[in-house]
This record gives sequence, C-alpha cells and structure tokens, in this order.
Amino acid sequence: MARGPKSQGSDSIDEMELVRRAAEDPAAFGELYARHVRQIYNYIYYRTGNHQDAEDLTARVFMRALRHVPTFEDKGVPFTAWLYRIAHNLVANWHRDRSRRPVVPLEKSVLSGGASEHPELEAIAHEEQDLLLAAIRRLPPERQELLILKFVERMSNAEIGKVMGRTEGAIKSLYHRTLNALRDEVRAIEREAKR
Amino acid sequence: MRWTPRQIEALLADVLVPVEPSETFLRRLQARLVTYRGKQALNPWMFIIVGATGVLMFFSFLGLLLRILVGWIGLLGILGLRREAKSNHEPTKA
Repeated sequence: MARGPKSQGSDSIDEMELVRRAAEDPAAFGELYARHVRQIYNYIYYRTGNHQDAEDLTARVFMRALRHVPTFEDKGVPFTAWLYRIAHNLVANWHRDRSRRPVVPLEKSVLSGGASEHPELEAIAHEEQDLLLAAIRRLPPERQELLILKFVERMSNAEIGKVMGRTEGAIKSLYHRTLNALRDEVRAIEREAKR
Repeated sequence: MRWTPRQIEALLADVLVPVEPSETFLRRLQARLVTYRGKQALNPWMFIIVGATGVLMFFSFLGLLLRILVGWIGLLGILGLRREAKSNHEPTKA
C-alpha cells in the first residue's frame, strides 16, 4: 500500500510539480490520485465506519480536488494536508447530515476474523476492540483524526503536525491527552454497559 | 482490563489497521475523474460553438431586420402610389 507522507520527503518537490501539472494534465492528476486515494479512503473509512460511505466520500474528495487543483497554492503545506482538509470537511458534513439518525457501528470486517483455536479468547479480544472503536467514535473529530493518522497511516508527529497545521510538540501533547480521553471514554462505556 | 496507556496503544495498533478499498471502486473512480477531465477538455470547443452560434444568430436577426425594413418601405411605396393614383382620378373642382 502506498504510504504517502512516508515517501514524501524526497518526493515533495515532485509532488508539487505534479500538482502544478495536474491543473492541466490528466495524467499528473491520475498520479496524485494513485498516490493518495488509499490514505484518504482509510481516513474516511475510520471516520464513517463503513465502506459504502467511505467510497462515496472518497469519490467526492477527489472530484472536488480535481475541480480546485488549479487554485492550489504551495504554502509549504503538503498536498496530502489539502486532501485531508477536504476529506475532513466532507466527513463533518456527513456527520451533520446523519446527526438525527442512529450511529452505524464500525463494520466487523475491519477486525481480525476467521476461525481460531481459542474462540473464547478471540471473543474477548473482539469485545475489547469493539469497546475501543466505540470509544474512538466518541472522541472529538480532531482526536479521531490524530489516531487515524498515527496508527493507520503510521505518520510521525512531525508529519501529523503538517497535516493538521500544528507543531510537533502540540501533536505530542494532544496525543497524550487523547489516550487519557480514550481511557475515560472506555471506562464510561463500561459503566453504561453495567447499568 | 485496567486500560493503561500502553494497553490502549497496543489495542489501537491492532484495531486501527489500513483497509484496502475495492479494486472495482478504484478503477471506477479513476474512470470518472478522466471523464470529468474529458468534459473540461471540451470547454474550448464549447466556447467556439457558442461563439459561432451567436454570430449566426446575429446575422439571422440582421437579415430579418433588413427584410422587415424593405417590406415596410415597399408598403409605404405602395400606399404612396395608391394615394397618388386616387388623387389623379378625383375630378378637380372648378
């Protein structure tokens, strides 16, 4: 799988050159699409919790990016950050539109499945994973974003900082606060389940 | 479970794993982007077509105006001739 930001270091100039060319050259935009579509899809998938909406919103992100790529300005922020910003806005709209409807749980397919020699242990593990996913979905959007970038995209704090428009130190601090908040949410969910 | 930060991090690493979008979706989206771009590529042609249509409509309108003008002048001419013919036939009062 293409891991954009990890490979962007030496390719960042190429990336900006591609972005400039993408305004007129379909092949250049196609290259940008191939580089980033999986990252954006993963981000949206974990924010929405299902493949169908992830596909729909990913398509919208790239259609919007295609329309606006001629207006993209190189201000030292990676192109990925711009795409994440579009994705973030579309996901926010998606959540707003669905706020009156019940929340759809994250699909089971994301969790490791299959037959096991220890079904009881696996059931416990799944329960913990479900609990954690439920807790993640209760976090504010920016903290969810941080966790997705850190664990799914395996970005460093510096890279996350570029994407989220913060310093490395601020990301480190936010990460620790997020872990604590996550623990509190897990405990709250456990308490609610016991009632 | 006590849910220490380390335990949470370990669980997060298990839960938040990359997912792979379907190949069909990726291909279809790429095709949509190319088609969209294709539509954009038509823009100069659309401009030329709209321009040419505008010019044609202008000349058609001008032609119609000229016809109406000529028709109006012709009608005035006919009326003038009739009036003249009438005045020629009327007996002059002595």
